[in-house]
Amino acid sequence: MTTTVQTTQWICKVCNWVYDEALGDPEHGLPAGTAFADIPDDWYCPECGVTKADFEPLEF
Amino acid sequence: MSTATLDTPIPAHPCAALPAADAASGDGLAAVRSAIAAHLVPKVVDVDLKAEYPEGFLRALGQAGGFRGAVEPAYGGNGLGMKHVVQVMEEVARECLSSAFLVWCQTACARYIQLSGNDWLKKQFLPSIAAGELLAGTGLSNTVKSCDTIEDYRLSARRVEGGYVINGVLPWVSNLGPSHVFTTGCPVVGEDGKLVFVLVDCAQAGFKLVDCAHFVGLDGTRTLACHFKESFVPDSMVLAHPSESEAYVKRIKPAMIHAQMGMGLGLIDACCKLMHQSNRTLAHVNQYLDDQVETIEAALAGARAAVYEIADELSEGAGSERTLDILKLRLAGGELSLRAANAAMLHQGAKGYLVRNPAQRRLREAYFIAIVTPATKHLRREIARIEGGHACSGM
Repeated sequence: MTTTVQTTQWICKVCNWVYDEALGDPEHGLPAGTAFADIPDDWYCPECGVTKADFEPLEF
Repeated sequence: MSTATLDTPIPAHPCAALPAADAASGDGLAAVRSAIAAHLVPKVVDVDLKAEYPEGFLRALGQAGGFRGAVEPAYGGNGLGMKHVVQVMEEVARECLSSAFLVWCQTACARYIQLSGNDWLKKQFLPSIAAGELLAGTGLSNTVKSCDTIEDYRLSARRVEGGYVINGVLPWVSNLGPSHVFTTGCPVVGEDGKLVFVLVDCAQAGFKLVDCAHFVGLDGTRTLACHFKESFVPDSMVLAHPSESEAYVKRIKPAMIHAQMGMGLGLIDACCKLMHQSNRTLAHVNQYLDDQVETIEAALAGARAAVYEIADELSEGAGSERTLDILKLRLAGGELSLRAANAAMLHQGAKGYLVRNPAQRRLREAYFIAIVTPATKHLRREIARIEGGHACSGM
């Protein structure tokens, strides 16, 4: 059986900046409520500049 | 830098004569000291607090011959070798670690080109880098950490006719700008993990600089993210092809790490001065602190002698046989930097906590020495691996 991770927060593996879907990234064109899956491929981490491919679900 | 610029032939550069002041002083550093006093000292607080990139100082330092130790005389060098590189960095770090790190970036890039087998690159780029006319960085942190199995490679290359196509993102590369160049290395698809090392023109097609990261120290070092998207690097810009890369790494690695000691030596010396300054009026209280200035100065003198000795050896050869000594010295340099900066802060007391007081800046700078690649934890791991019998063949 596989499990699907349900998260609204994603962490950058390079710098640990957290993308919170509830907050979005309005300064860089992502309104609050933007799902991680809907972030365009040319968006980059505002803290270190890597792309969304370097993010993973934030789990505790 | 445009393609047209790249194609413009540059005549072979004669051995650069030392500035007149250096010919008199004998150590090749008088003109460097003058450039520091005139162009860096007035800017140190702005570099630290306003993240101002000290471009004017770097240009002046280049004119003063500050980068020429990394380059052979045939390409504009001064023939003074690695010791001169370390000493210039040390002089600069006495005032400002951001600028000393930029000196390391510039001279490391020059040395990577110097130690390549690409004569066209040497003729085309080394004279202008040695003179500070072309500014240069080095994006090898990820390459080093990946070679040492700490993290995954962030770039990949594939062979195409006439060159390589590179994709990926490097998050933090310093001393960059639209007209700068920098070195990097990454695995090539289908080459069984072997690497290609290249010189990247920041203006080349498919390449983009992204300015987003901000740091608590050394924020004036133009540390930018580098985006490669189907970015073509011609063979003329290759430092080492996959078949050459293992030997190339052995040539560049020792000095790359060792030269960073110039940052530590200068910073520790500056911390000792802060302790002496405080002791003029507060020695009766400071004597109860764990680290006294005489202890730090004795450790500094020992480290400096060891650094200069190995630097002279590196000027004579690659130095891969001294890798373990270099790693241990570099580790000690980072740890002594932290200890000295902590002692300077405690000696200065509340004064050291003021925004414009150098003591708190030195503490932030010292942490940089301990965390820049190779970081303290990286060095400890590599030393343990080598002493445990692991072959020292990677970066």
